[in-house]
Amino acid sequence: MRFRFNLALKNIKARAGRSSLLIIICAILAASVFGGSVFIRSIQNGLHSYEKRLGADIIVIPEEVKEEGSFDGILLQGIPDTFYMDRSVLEKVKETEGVEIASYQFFLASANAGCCDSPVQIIGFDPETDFSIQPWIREAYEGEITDGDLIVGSNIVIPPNRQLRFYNVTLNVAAKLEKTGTGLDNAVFGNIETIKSLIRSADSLGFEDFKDVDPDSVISAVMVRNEKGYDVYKTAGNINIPIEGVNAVTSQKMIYGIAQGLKNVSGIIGIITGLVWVLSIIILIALFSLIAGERVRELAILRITGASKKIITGALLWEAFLIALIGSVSGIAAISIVYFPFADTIKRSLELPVLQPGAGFMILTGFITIILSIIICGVTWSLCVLRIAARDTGLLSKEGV
Amino acid sequence: MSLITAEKISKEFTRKGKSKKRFEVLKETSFEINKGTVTEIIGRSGGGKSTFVSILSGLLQPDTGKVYYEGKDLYELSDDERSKLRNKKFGIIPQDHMVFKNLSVIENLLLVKEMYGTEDKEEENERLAEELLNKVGLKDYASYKAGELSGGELRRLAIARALINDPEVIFADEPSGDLDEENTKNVLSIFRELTEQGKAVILVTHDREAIQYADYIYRMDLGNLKEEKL
Ligand SMILES: Nc1ncnc2c1ncn2[C@@H]1O[C@H](COP(=O)(O)OP(=O)(O)OP(=O)(O)O)[C@@H](O)[C@H]1O
Ligand SMILES: [Mg+2]
Repeated sequence: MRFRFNLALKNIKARAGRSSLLIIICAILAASVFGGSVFIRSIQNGLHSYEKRLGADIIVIPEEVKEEGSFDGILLQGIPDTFYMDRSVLEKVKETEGVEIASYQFFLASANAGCCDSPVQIIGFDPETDFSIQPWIREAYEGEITDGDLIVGSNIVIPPNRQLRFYNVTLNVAAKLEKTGTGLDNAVFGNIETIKSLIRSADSLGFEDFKDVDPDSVISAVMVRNEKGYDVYKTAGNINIPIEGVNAVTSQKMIYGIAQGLKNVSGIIGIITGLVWVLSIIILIALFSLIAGERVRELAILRITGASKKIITGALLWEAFLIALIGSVSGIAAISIVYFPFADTIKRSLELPVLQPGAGFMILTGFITIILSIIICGVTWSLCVLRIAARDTGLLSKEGV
Repeated sequence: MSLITAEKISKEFTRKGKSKKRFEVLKETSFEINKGTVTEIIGRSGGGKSTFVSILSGLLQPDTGKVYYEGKDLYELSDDERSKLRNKKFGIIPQDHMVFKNLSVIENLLLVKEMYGTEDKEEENERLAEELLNKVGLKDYASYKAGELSGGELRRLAIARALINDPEVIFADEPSGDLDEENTKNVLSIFRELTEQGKAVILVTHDREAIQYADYIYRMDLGNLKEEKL
């Protein structure tokens, strides 16, 4: 056993060029599988949490918010934006057939908050009726959310004194929410009274931002929970047709767009991974066959000096195993070094919610990738080399066996 | 006393040309190798000498007949048993330069020594290897890459390797082919010394010099083995 292992190791070291080439190919195989799986999983996770965080069946926003454009921006990419419609919309929606609960939200886009490098989205909700944000907050914070309290998204940096200042108003950070991979990670949440105090302060400080905004008469969005058993598209129609100037979008429709994007991205990654695999396996087989020629001689020497077929097969399998192991581990390491630092950039450029899977998933995927590499390497290796190990006629009379 | 006995062995090969003609490389032959002797096999090129030695050393199964080593039928043994026997009891010096050119000279020797689990005796093994290298005149070459050696040096490395496990039988296929006179003499005297310890040497050679060291001489011609008078 030890001899076989040592022989394999000697062979790898003695043929450094040949071995590194094989290791690199195994690394590429492993990197493509691992990178592809983690990436696709990240988008799936993102979609899942987006769906969960949307929390409403229908979202009613002003009509001029064209085709969910800036709303998507807020939710997906965390680009702060504001839009308003008349408060009367809320009452009208509440009375619409198919609507079980309706609650309004109020969006403010702040200038630099002194807390973050970029402006943040401030979202105000009505604690009395809210059903989409509070259950989520409850996961991070059990206590009461009183006036002046803020709940912040996971990307917001909390100063040591746990206070953030917006327009000269000091607010307490009550809790930080779990990462979602969506734009909501860049948002802060507070009740409507808190929002009103911000607007008042901004006005008195002479900021023009909210000059025409009266939080008592306008709202940004109405979140709707659909009545059980009532067709959600019909409810949306019930809102869209009679109520002027609004656009009721079902969350299914919003998610559909992302799911479609996810499908496209997964498809492309799948094709690329497939191509990498086919190519690598072809190269691997070609290389192994080339090596097999050299191998004939090596195996003949071993046979002549008394190595049994078991020893030779064992050493060859060890060699394939070590190459696959070193290759796949370094492939996974390499893709991690390249991928993780750029994950945010990739996420932004894709306009898809990306939520990195947990360590458990990574370890499992890494493990499976390594096993897969070892199997692929072992099988191609066996096809090319092991069959030579089984032959040995005329070892002394013919060099080429 | 007979160490190796071959009974009515024969071997046919198929030429891989268009005609696929089968031809007999070795016609039915019986043969004996005794302890403490040098047996030489001469004959013209392509006559089947190397094939014969392959069969005797357990590397090539004959079509008919049996080969016994100390009464054991070599080709009835399992591959494991036969291989281990070859490692421990046989020292084979092949006609071609069959060494690992990417390993060092001493690694080539240790590989054979350690094949059946004596890695733990590292120091002892190394000392033994160095001793043998000294004997064949490769004293200062231990750490060289085998690929850097000349033809004659490679040959001597192969000779040292064949002796590393202190074998009972040495099969040497034209060992003096690329050696100068001095080295040839040295190698032949090593063989002589071994027979004095009771080992047997099978020597395939064209060398006139070697004749003086032989106890028996056989001529291989077109698959027929005939003993020659000394
Ligand atoms: N594996 C093989 N398959 C087919 N033919 C073979 C094989 N091995 C040897 N031969 C043929 O058998 C014949 C005898 O070969 P062998 O190598 O035994 O001769 P030899 O006496 O050792 O020759 P030399 O003195 O040149 O080394 C040759 O014609 C060779 O081509
Ligand atoms: Mg020959």
